[in-house]
Amino acid sequence: MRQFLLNRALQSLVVIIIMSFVIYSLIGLMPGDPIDLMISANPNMTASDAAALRELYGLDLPIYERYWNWLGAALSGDLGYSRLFGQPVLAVLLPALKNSLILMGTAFLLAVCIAIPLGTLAASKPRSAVDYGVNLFAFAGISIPSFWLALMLIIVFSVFLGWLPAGGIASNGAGLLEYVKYMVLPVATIATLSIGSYSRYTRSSMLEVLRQDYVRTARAKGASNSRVVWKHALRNAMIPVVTILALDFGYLFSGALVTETIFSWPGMGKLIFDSVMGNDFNLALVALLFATALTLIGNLLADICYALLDPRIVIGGGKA
Amino acid sequence: MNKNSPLFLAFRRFRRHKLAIFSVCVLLSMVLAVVFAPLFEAWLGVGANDVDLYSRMVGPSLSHPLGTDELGRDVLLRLLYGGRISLFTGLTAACFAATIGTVIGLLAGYFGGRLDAVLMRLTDSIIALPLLPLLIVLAAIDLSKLGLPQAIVESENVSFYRIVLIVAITGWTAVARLVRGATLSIKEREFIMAAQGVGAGHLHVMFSHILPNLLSPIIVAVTLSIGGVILLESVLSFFGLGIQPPMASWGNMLTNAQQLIWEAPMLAVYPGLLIFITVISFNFLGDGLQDAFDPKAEY
Amino acid sequence: MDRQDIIVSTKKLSKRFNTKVATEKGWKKATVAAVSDVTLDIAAGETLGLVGESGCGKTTLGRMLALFYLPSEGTMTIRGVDVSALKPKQVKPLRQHVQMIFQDPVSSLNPRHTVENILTEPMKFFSSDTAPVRRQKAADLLEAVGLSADALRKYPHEFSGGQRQRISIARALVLNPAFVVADEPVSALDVSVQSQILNLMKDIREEFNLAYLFISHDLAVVHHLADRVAVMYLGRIVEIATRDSLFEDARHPYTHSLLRFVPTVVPNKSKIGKILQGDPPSPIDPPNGCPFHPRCPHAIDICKASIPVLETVNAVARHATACHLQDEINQQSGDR
Repeated sequence: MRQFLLNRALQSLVVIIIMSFVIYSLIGLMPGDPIDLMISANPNMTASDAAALRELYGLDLPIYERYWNWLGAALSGDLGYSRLFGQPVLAVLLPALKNSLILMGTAFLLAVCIAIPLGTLAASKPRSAVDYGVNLFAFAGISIPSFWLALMLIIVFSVFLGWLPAGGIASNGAGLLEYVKYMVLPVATIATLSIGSYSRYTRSSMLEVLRQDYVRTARAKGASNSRVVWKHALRNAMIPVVTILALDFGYLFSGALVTETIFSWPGMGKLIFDSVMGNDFNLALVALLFATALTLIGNLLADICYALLDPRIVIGGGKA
Repeated sequence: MNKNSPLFLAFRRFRRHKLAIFSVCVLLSMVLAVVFAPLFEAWLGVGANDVDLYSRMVGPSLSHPLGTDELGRDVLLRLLYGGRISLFTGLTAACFAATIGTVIGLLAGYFGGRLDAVLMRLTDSIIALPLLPLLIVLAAIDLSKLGLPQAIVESENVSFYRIVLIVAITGWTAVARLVRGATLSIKEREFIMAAQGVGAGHLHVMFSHILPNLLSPIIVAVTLSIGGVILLESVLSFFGLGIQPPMASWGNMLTNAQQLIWEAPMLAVYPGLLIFITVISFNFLGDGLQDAFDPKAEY
Repeated sequence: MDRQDIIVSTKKLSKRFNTKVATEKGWKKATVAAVSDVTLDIAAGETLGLVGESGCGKTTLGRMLALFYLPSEGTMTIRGVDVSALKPKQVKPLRQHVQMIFQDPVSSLNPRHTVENILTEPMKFFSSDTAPVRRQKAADLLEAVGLSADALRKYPHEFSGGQRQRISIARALVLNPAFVVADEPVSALDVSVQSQILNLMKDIREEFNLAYLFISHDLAVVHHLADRVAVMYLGRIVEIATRDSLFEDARHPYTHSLLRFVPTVVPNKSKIGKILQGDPPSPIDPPNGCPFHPRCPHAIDICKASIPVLETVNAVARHATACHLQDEINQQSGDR
């Protein structure tokens, strides 16, 4: 068991290190560089000034040396300054992380609370109208473009009905109700997408369990259909569903890029998008790394919990 | 086709799947419509990219069946030409990704051992990454910094190639896993040993004996992934990182729609509706194919 | 038998596999000695039956002789070419001399290939015939195994088990081999079909002058087809003789226990697994001394200490046995 955890943790660490280099290189490939931006901001700079600045910032070094220097600074706590926000990167990042967690966590809980009963209901009456209805809804959920769903919700609830704000977040000091008002549409968008896939997984896992012998035995002993489904089968049907949920757990930390951007929700997703589009290299780099690392760690935690929960997984150092 | 070939039997099962049959019809008519887009253009007498600033955002009329957009371009024509790009991108990228995934999965499953371990660790790692933020960066990088010749960087189709490439290098993981798993089970069957016994080499065994037995799960996986690819293309184009105007795609037609949402909400409805219908049709189709190819569904 | 036309010959042939076994402390590397010290010859046109319980290494030995595994130790020659010295790539030209018939008629034919595909494929690797010539050859072979040429266009799932096994036999004949390894070719078939396939194998043996290694756990089937019989236990050949000598004058206690329950009337009841008490020892951790001693009713101290070697007991019948006590046992059980 310890061996397994160690291996998994080590693997995640290797991926994080590799990804930090990949992301660093990709950011370096984005249009323009900091000196270009300085030049455009200050018309008095000459070409030789620019070259001197490049040397000063180490931008003339090969990519791996620049990466090495950056890594040293980052590990000693110097993550640099955000150009867009004029603040240290970390000061921008942490509030965004908090906002993302609130948004994603709410949507995740909501989706789970709706999808699992929905999927179970569909499985308990296969080929009924309820089953087809849930199936159709699930397919719609996995097929709808998230940004379009967001736009449609805005059109209906903000443009036509005027009930809810089209985007943004409640200002500091506003009441809880005000805060929730801003959350409704983005949460609904994210949850709709997840409900589709979660309810499908629940349904098929449930059907699988209902075919098994002990369920038939329970039926043969005269237990009612709903008792069989909700008492006997549900717990076992949950094991594969939990795997899927655990895999998604990691994504809570990287935010919902599309939804946050459209609703101007100041979370990680929007931060990454804005920093990439706004050439804020320091911020983009650190935000992407944070999102990647946290997602991987989330996945790792989910894996560990899952391994602890499911007695069928044999944990050994050998065959995977 | 031979009436007893496995594919024909699967076809007979598929015909029972009404939703999937309906999806095929929807997709076929959509393909026909976008293929004959020039006919509509001739009929309406305007080009898809013709700007007419005197009739911006007008409602439906005989000369503009679905109205015009913020630059006075005909919405119907742009939807048709956008559909060409979106459908073509989806199909091409999905096939590309499936090809990469199939080769990687075959190699990993067939040879096993260390190669398998390395390839599968790679696959797992890519699956665990937050892909969309990384794709945004990939879509934003400056191609001339990669050392590509200026002619390519500035060519009209570069945004299309870029999208296909981005999807292909990140979208192969699901197919790779699927193909590896199936390869592992098929390579234990005796006909593989029989083929080796009559002198077949590794490549021949992989592509002539194992691959044909994997076609049905691969077809299902590709069909199901086309929807995802079209969604991805539309998201990137929506953010201005995919297909670049004036070339229309369903995604980039929505880019400006958000700004105009108070003035012309319908502009935001049509392209998204088409994306939605296309993607859900591909998903229904994939679901139907899955049932048709499922050996357990022989009832 | 004419010693000149030996097709296959092995000397002290061994095969070990590396594997992992589950222990309390996790996975541990281990070696399985699947085949140990096998020495045998098969001449042109001769059929050697190979019997033993499942897991005794007979399939591994068969696959080695069919060139699927290279030996770990010892030598093996096919038509005078020493295989043990070859690199994997150099084995390919030899494959046309050695072919295999598999046990499972379902999984040994690729479900996505037509019969024509299955039968012409081997020719693609070894001959420069044109497609029509190949098709004609395939059709001729189908008729030789009792199927009509119509079968060429069909897929394997359109045939019964017996018909599939006929296709499998036809495939083994495509390259005109001198030696065919048949690994339990009838055990997956209905009893009524078994004898048809066995008779077919007999007929084509004459027609194509084939040598067979015929692997089976069914002694009645082996009796039907084999000229000589080898008995295998835990990777070793413990007794080998001409068929009649082995069935009438068995010397090894293991062969005795196999023979004791061979009713001649109902061949299907002669499955070996039911005869002996207990399971054979694991080849990962074989017992010291004679591999059979833990289950042998006659075992004495020397059986636990040293491995008996094959000794000729009857030169005329080419009968050899690996047992320390073969003389004593034979006197006791003379009244069997």
